[in-house]
Amino acid sequence: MLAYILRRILATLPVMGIVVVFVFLLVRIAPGDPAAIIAGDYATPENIQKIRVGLGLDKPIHVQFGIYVMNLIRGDLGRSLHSRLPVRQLIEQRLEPTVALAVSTLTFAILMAIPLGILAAWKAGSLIDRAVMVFAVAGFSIPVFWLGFLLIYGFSVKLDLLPVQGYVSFRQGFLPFIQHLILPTVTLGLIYMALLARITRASVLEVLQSDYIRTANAKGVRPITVLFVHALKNAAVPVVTTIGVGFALLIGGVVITESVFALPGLGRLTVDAVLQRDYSIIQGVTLIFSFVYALVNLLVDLSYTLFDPRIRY
Amino acid sequence: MHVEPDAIPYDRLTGGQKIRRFVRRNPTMVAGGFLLAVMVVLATCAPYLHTVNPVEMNPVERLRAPGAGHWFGTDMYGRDSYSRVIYGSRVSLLVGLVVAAVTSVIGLTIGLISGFVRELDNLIMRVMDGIMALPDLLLAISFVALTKASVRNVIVALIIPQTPRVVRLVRSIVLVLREQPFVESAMAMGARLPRLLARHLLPNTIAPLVVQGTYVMASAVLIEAALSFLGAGTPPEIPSWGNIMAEARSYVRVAFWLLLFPGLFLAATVLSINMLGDGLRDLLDPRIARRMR
Repeated sequence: MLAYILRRILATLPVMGIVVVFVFLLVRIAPGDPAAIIAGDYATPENIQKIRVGLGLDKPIHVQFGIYVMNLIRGDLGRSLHSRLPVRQLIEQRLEPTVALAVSTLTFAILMAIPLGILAAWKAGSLIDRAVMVFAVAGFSIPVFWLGFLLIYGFSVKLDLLPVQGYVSFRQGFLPFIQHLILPTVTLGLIYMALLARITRASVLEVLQSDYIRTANAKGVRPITVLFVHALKNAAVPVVTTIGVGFALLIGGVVITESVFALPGLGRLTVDAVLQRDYSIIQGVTLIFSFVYALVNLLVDLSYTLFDPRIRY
Repeated sequence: MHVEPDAIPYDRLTGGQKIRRFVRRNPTMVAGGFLLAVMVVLATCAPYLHTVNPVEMNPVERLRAPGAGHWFGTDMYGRDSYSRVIYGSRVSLLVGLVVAAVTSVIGLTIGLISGFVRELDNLIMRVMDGIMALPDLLLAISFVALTKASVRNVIVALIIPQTPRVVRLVRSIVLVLREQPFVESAMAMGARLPRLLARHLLPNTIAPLVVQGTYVMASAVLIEAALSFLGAGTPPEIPSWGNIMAEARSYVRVAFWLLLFPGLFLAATVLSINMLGDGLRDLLDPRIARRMR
C-alpha cells in the first residue's frame, strides 16, 4: 500500500517537471521582450540592457533554467516585474479568499450534486430525472460570469439581500464573511454541480443494474441505505475522478468569479499580471495552480482504493 | 387501417417520414442542431438583420433601455446593443469552429502516431500529460499575455490546452484497434504505416472525433468569452460577447440589459453545441461498438 502511494507520487514528478519546463519556456519564447516592456516606451537601449541584466535574461537559456529550478527548490518564485515584491509574498497575501472560495464551492457542489445525481438515477425516466438532466446540460453551458451577474442583479440589486462585491475575511466577522461568499460560491458551485450531478447519475444508474443491488433490495434493506451505502460506494470511482478532472475547470472558474465579484484572490492577481505582462507572477501562479491540481489528482487516485478495494496497483 | 409509424421498416418510409422519425428519436440533437444553425445564420447574415454599424458611437443615445428603435438598448457610448450582440456571434462562432477543426486535425495526427508507434508513445503522452496538468484558462491566459491580443492569438491559445484531450481519445481508439485482426491482416498483406493509418484506422476514429469536436467547440466558445471578459482575449475594437459584457460590468444597476443579452446568446450557443454533441454521441455510440465487434 505504501509502495503504491510512493509509486504514484513518483509518477507525478515527471509531469510536474514538464510543467516547470513548460512554464519556464512559455515566458521566454514570447515574441515581446520583457525587458523592453518593463523599460517602457521611452527607454534607451542602455536602460533596456541594464534591466535585462538585472533580470538575468542575458545569460544562456540553460543557465537561466538552472537558476530558475534552484530558486524553485528554495521556494523562491522570483520577483514581480512591476512592483519588485517577492512573488511568494504576493501569493501568500492573496491565498485566503481563493482557498475560501474553492473550499466552499467544492463543498456546496459535492453536497448538492451527489444526492441529486443519486435521486435522478433512482427515479430514472421520471420528471425529476429529466429535470436533473436538463439542469446538468444547461448548467454546464452557462458562462460563469453571466450567471454571476444574473445573481448579483437578482439578489443584490433587486432584492438587496446580499452584498454586491468584495471579500471580508472571517477574522473580521463570520456573518459578513459568509454573506460575501454566498453569491460567488453559488455561481461557481452551480456549474460544477451540473457536471457532477450528471456523472453521478450516469454512474449510479449503471451500478443500480447490478445483482448485488437487487439482492439488497430483495433482502428488504431500506432504499436510503441501498442508495447511499451500497450503490454510492461502487459508483464513487468515476465521480471522484470527475471531481479531480473538474478541478481544472474550478480553477478557471475561480479566476473568473474573483473578477466578477472583486475578490482579492489569486485569480485576480493572475488577471492583473496578465494585463500588465508581469511574467514572474504569471509563472508563479501557474506553477502553484498546477501543483495543486496535480496534488488533487494524486489524492483522487489514492482514494480509489478506499472505494474499491479490488483496485490495487 | 392505421399502422404505428415506428413499426414500418426503414426501407418503406417516404422521405418526410424518415425525417419525422429521426426528429422523434433524437429530439435533443435536432433541437441543438437547429438552434446552432440559427446562430450561424445570425452570424453570417448579420448585415441584413436590421443591424447598424456596431462600433458607431452615438453619445446622445447613451444607455437607452430596450425599446422600439434599439431592440436590446444602447450602451454607454450609444452603440446599438442588438447590432453588437449579433456581430459578436461572428467572433464566437468563428473561434469555436476553427479551434474545433484545427484541434481535431492536429489531435488526430498526433493520436494516430502515438497509438501506433510505440517508441514515440511514451514521450508524446508525457508531453500531453504535462499540458493537461495546466488548467485550461490559465494556459490560455498565459499565452495571450505573451502575445498581442488578437483573434488569431486567442485561437492558438485555445488550441493548445484542447489538443491533448483529442490526442488521448484517438490514441485510446488506436490502442484497441491495432490488436484487431483486420489490422494484422493488412500488415500481413504488406501495408505500410501511412496506408494503415489512413485507410484502416482513420475511418474508425471519425465518429468519436466528431463528438469530441463538438465539446471542444463548446469549450472554445466559453473560454474565448471568458478571456475577452477578463480583457485578455479579443481586442476591444471587435465586439465579442465577452468584450461587451466586460464593458458593461459597471452598469449592473443601471443598464442590466447590456449584460443580459450577450450572455443569453452565449449561453444559448454553448447549450446548442452541447445538445448537438450529446445527441451525436447517443446516435453514434452503439454504432461504434457494433463496428468494432
